[in-house]
Amino acid sequence: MKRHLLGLSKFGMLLIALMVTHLLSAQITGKVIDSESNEPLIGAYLKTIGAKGGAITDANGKFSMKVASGATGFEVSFIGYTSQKFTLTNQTDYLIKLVSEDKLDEVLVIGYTVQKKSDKTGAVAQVTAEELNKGRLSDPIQGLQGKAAGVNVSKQGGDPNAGFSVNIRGAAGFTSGTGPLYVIDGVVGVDPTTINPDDIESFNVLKDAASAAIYGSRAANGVIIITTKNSGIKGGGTATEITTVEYSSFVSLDQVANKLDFLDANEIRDYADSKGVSFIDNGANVNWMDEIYRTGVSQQHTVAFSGSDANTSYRASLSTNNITGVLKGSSKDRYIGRLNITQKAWDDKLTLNARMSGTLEKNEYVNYGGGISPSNIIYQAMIRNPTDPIKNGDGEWYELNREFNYNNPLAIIDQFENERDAKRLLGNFGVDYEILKGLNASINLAYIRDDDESFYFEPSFAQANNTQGLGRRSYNNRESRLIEEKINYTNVFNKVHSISAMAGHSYQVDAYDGFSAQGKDAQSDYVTSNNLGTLLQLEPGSISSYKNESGFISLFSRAIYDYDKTYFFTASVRRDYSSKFGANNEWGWFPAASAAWNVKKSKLLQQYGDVSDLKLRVGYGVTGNQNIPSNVDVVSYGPAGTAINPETGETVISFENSGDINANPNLKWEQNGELNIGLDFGFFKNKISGSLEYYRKKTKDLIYRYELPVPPNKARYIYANAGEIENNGIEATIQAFAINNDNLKWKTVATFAHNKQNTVSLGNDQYNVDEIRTLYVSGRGLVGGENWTQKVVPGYEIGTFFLPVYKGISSDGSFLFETEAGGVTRDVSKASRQAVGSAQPDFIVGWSNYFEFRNGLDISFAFRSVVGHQIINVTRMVFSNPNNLPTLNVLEEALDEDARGLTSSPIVSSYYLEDASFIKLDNASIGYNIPVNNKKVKNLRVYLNGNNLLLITGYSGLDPELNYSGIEFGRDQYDVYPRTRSITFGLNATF
Amino acid sequence: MKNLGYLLLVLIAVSCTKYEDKIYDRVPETKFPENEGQAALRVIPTYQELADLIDDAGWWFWAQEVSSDEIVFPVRLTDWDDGGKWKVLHQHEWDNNTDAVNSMWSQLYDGVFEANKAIDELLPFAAEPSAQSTLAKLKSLRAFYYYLLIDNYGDVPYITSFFDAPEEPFKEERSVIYAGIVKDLEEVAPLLPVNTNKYAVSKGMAFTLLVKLYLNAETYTGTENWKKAEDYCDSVISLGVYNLEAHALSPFIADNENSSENIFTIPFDEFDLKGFRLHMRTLHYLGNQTYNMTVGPWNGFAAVEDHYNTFENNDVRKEGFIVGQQYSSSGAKLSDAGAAGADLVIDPYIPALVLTSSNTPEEIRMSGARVGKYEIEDGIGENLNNDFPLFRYADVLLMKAECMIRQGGNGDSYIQEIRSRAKASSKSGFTLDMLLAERGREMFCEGHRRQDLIRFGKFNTAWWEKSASSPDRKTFPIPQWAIDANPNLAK
Repeated sequence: MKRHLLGLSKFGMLLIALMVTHLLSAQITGKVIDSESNEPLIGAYLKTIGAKGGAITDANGKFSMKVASGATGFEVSFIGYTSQKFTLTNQTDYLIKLVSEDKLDEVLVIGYTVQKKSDKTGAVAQVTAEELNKGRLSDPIQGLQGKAAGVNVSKQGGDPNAGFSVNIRGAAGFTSGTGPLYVIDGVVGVDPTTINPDDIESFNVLKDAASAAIYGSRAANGVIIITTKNSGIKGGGTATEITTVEYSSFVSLDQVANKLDFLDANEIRDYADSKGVSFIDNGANVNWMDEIYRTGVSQQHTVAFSGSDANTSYRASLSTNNITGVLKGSSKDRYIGRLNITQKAWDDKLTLNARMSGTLEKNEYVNYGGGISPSNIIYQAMIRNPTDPIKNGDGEWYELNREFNYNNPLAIIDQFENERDAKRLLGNFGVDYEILKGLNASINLAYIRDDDESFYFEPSFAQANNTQGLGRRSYNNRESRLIEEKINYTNVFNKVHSISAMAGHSYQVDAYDGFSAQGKDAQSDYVTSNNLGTLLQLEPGSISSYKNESGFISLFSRAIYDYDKTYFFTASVRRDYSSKFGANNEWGWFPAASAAWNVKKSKLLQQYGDVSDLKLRVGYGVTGNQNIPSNVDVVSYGPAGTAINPETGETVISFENSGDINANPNLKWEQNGELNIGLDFGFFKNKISGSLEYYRKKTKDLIYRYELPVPPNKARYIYANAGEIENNGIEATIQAFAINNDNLKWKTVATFAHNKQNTVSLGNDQYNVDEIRTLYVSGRGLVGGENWTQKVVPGYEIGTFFLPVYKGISSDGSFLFETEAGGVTRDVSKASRQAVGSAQPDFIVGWSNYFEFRNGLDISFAFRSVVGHQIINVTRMVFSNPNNLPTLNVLEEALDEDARGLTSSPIVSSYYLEDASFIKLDNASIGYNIPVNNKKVKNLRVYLNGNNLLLITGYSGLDPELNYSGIEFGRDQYDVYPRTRSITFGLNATF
Repeated sequence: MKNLGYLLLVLIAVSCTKYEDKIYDRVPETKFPENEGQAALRVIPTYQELADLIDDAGWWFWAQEVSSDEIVFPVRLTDWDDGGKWKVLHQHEWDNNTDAVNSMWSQLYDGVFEANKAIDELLPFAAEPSAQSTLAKLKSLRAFYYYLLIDNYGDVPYITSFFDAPEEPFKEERSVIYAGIVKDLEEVAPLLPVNTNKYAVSKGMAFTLLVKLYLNAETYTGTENWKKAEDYCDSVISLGVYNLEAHALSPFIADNENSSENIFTIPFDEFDLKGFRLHMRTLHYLGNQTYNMTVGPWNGFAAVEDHYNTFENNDVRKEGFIVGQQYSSSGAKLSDAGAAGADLVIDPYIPALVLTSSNTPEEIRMSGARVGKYEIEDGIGENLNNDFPLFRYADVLLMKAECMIRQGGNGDSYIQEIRSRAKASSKSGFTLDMLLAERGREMFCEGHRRQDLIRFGKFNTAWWEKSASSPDRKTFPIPQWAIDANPNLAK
């Protein structure tokens, strides 16, 4: 909150400097006090701005100052406190609260409590609103991209409806989710995509287990804590009121950043002529890659107003965001409303917090995944012969069966309906009561509701549908209820022993339910999915529904102690219950301890004045992962389609063991033990500061669905804990105020992260598997051995590619591969599969820069580089193969392949594995604070922003980024929504 | 006031330490079965495992057909290579990681397992007459799965209890399992009904299964037993409920559930019982226009040309092939855009097992006689309505003839009955070779050919695009994954 207000006053300062001078001459009086203790500050200095004049506070902190004509404002300063500037208004009496510089120390949100940044003992990264990426963000988490070392925020392609994957410190699992736990304003498990980026005050990332262990069984993949904005309470009985209205708006243009180079009609004709083969030439020359894309126009408008007085503060915001995707037919509309209120009462001992937010989202989807499916628009556009016209003479979409499942992609976009409406609600109510000085008790209640409804329709006349018309409606509802109580105690004994202790309990129930109905053989193409009664053909399972629920109970406690801000100790323990686990292991312990030594405080460093800060930290903690489906620990029976009862000949619903699993009463959380050693440093009065982290992480009891022999086992699978993965890594963050004077401020922040993962084992004596083959690829004509590209195997990291090693082509055009013995073979089944790369990067670098010029101009830009990961480019594998010419279109590269004599069908090999290292200019923006001659307008800012302006990579596909998730990442299989480049023009005004 | 607050805090903390872990949308194991309807379902899973035998979920059908001399999946340029899983069957080069070998194993044991489970659950009620009949049916089904297991894999674990199944079972000798299932069948056959319900186990099913076992006794045990096989043929015939249909293709029509020729079938339905997709795999891509299909077929398998050529031109069974110029349902000539608009003419001649870019588009896309033996209804989708006959009366007659010939007798009358129905030329003096050829025509594409070739000693000989194979190819290896999970299977 404080940071935010300071930010506003900084704008104020800039305004003042540029404002046309007003003629004023008056006397102002007031009092200057310490913001925390309310003690008067004696000898504080006041100076008018714009004209000569000043005053000094008396023994009671009071002052009286004559303001000469021409003055526009005044500045208050006091040693050890941050100066404040005020614009002159009609007000003549001021209560001025100066903030001690000691208090300015950033406050980290570490889960259930806050902590000064200088007191931290764990690896906690904070990114505040002003540091986030700006511009056209499809998701607030995009703002964090490249900003925190070890937090890999990534998305393959530019689909506004697709989410980002977030991977912290190589989080890994075989079947469990690897995304972090999100905590928003203290509420665990909120979907962060429902927050307007403008409402975010800060991200705090608990990276190491010692920090994250306070969230116990759900924290193994790290915790991202998001705090939303509110205005701070003034307190102290002041009547000062600040009411701010903010309006921000932008318009942005999105364009496809790069397109794949397919043959045009003449090239296909030339090819056919040169080969003497005939094909059906329909005479057109259509660039299908151009036809399916468009320029996307997006806009966002946010209105927020906030205010506060002695006892109340609030902030309300409403935003609308509309993104038109570059792939025709895709769009996202979102409305978010949020209201945060804080009220103090009973002599400030009682604090009430209420937060409500609602999101309405409407998505229009187009099908571009699903491999060679008949309605995959991108795939259909790729194979489509450029001699096929778009439309017939009579204006109908042109269709021709060149191949099975060969459909006009524009017809699919036009004819298919695929929409979703989502409605989300988050309500949060908290009471905090100060029982004694330093002792607080609080209760927090939260309710989350995420509902969505989908509409799907394939009309009967569409060539791409093979169901005579299909309509479907489905609903998915999620509800989460949370109650949490905690007691917090802080005190300082004998001025050097600081103690902060917290204990609490939480109870959360997550419930999911849904309903889906579909039918085929549509008797009306007009009503689409709006009236499913028009569908003639219903099959068993056409109507289905589900409901499941899981419960979490926790008892948690943490104690923080420091001796004279020199030696710091933190210990926490959490006891967690999760209903997802087997009856014997529903409860688990999650302890953590960490310590820090402020070396700067010791005598050793006192002679080194240039070292302004030096702190050594070490911590160890245990966290868990329980991100698995509900009820996989027990056997249950669910409907499995229909069967004929052979005795009666009647059709009945058959019931089968759901998932074909054996019960496992010992199923438990995955356990992650992590050691973190960190060093925080600052030089030259913290002009250069930063931190280094080193961690060793061991994740054991990994859950996997092991296959068991049947007989003698009842069922084929069991979910069991047996595998183990290690991650070791280093991270560095360096921040420098490279230039810091009145004319120019330049802040630069660089982050670096390197993680090395190793699969230790895939099982134990009881449950084992030699290797897990994964990342299967598919495509027309993709022949050869089994089409997997990666395997999870001990000694290698997840994402390691094991591929036949390409050794050129034979004289008759077959691919050649290396054999076990080192020779070559054309039989891929005899080729040796070797570890030839990995989809996990070697290191990730982020570099952000912020410039502020005296004249109100500011510039920021952020680069990000991911180095050392590979992608299997299946798009190239299939479309650089000339075999389908001239019937189907291919990449330009296919002509080269044809020229060198390739005749083989596509075969998976190292030939198609590409290094996807890249450097990206994620974000660049230039803004200008327009001088305004109007007291009502506090700030007016315009900016121009570009996202994804520059990409340097050797990767030949559409996007060198990946979605990291589970054990399936590193593939580009004509399912990549093109990466987009967006230019945004925006305006922010504060009143 | 304050104290009330603390009390509230404590109350909440204490009350929220329990959570009832509950399943909402499925029936927990402890509550299943809830009612008689669900209890009756106990036998169904055992039957249900049969359905997957026919397609690539269970692979039994394809393993029989593609490893024989009558059906082939040519690699059509980029289609149907599928990692070589069809080609290795044709050329007898499968290993213990081939799809067919993997999937058939688990599918057949799924059947055994379901049967064992249902049997064990029923055993406490074995004294009740209704339970006895159900037990008899379940044991017959289990015998059927074991029959397919020893036929395909030879020595396999023989487990007859669910609750007492060993953790890591050892293999049992083929002959021991053979003896076990023959004994089971002969014990339960009297308890079975003589019914005309083709889906349920009946006396006819059990007797036919006994014929199959005794007929192949030499393969399974080293000792032939033609006499017993013939006896059980007579048992089937004397039931008097089965007879040959007038038309040779009648047992295969879409609406074949009441065919008097079929003894034991797997029910299929395009909506309710999916899984019979033979037409999808065989028809040319444009076949959907001939049959007004709602989906596009996949242009896959065909008859081996040498086999196609064994049919006389006037043999009505030859109508079960799709060859020549193809027409749309409205009678228009079909032309294939994928072959530069050439007329769609299906040619029984297949230039090679692997068709490459050196072949013409016509050869790649149109070669090989397609199988239309199972009626393809107008307007059908991806799944057929035709029930699949596992046992058929015509087969019983041919087996009767075989037993007679093998015992030095003459089987002409039984064979001639089949041939004359097919309007094939009259023949006499049938030798074993002639009988094998007749079985090939009559039982084509019904999943019998591999076993027949083995019994007649022809399975390892060379044929089109396949060289002579080693005798060990008469069984499939136990899958590697199963050995990994249970090392005793390697012993």
